[in-house]
Amino acid sequence: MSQEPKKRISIIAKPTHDCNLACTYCYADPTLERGNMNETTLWNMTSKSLQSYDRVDFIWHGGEPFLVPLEFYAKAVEFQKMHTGKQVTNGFQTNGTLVTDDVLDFCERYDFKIGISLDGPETINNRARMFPNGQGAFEQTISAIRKVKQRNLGNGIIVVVSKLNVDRCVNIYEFAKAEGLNLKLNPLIRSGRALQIYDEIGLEPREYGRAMVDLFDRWFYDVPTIGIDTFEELMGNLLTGVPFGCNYSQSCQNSFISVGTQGDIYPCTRFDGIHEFKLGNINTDDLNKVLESEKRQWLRDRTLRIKECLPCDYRQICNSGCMHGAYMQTGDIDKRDYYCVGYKMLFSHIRKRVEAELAKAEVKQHAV
Amino acid sequence: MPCECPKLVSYKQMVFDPEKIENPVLARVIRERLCEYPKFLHEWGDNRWADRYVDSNFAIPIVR
Repeated sequence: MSQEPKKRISIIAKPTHDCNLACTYCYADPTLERGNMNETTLWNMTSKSLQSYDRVDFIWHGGEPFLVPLEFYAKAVEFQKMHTGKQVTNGFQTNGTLVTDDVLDFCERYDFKIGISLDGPETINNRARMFPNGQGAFEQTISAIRKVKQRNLGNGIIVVVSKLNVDRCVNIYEFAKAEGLNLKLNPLIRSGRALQIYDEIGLEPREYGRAMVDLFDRWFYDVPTIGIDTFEELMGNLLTGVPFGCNYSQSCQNSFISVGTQGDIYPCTRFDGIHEFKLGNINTDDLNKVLESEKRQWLRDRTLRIKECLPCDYRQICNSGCMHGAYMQTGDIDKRDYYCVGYKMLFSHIRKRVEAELAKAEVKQHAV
Repeated sequence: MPCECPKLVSYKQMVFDPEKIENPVLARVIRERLCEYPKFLHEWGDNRWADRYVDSNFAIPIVR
């Protein structure tokens, strides 16, 4: 029996843009406002979103969200509970270095999930993920990951793939497998601090594609193994023909917004601080009007405008990829994702492998 | 919630039995994602999957 569709949105909330790490490839704009989100902005973000949507998924992002005291998040829960009949989920995306027992207790008590960024084993991770004094963050991060896993608050890591580790993806996989962690691998974003060293650590799309194809085979035929969201998402997209994931969906603008420390609304956290993409401010604007604005509609219709992707076999499950990736490479969102060639290598490879396995389970149909 | 996975699934011109997929990774992904996709998308207010339901070009349940 079908149910009435529910209106749902994910809000990437920025309680602070400050961070205690100084990762060399950070995509955040280093000139973004400092300080923490105040209670007025928190209230407006919570009440306006829950008035507009039946379900809101808050992704507490940063900077580093645990630079903000836990009392702030307790207040967030208090505000959320004032909106009855709504469904709310909460999750932190953190570097893990400030995860304490108090944080874990809080997350358990209020059902906040925790996602942690780590680039694999120490020697690989510490090439990019470090404190401002140059000390690598591996030790603190892996300690947090193990505690988070032990308490069932999260069981995966997000890895940034760059020139620093693209030839070590299988090592990263083996590390994650040994730790019993699921993986998500994101290619480097040409943005923020990463721009300063992009020529050194930036990837060619084919380089990324080759690394992912190799890793796919290592994973696909491994028993037992772990989950790799990057691949599972694509397998699901190929099998259903319906794209899932912010990179490939027909429009991420049906599902996401970002709210900054001072209430600025952007299409996605990757656009934070790029003024031409600012959609409004949660404190001063009507959220419904922002979400229905011409600017957001223009973003939402991007895929329809990109003619260069029309002949592509994978257009239906890729939708020209990430508009931020296109914008940062070309200055125009109406271009295909920078990693297009690499994605196509991976789509094609996965399709080949999946179809070969399905053929073995094929049921021969007899003519009636 | 009991799994509502179809007994047989079609993909392009193939009809296959999910239970007979030998590769454990693919079997898990189909179990976890293919079964859940329609429900998930519907929850998000996206009914495009319903169109797929009658389009055998993609993996759709054909026997419940």
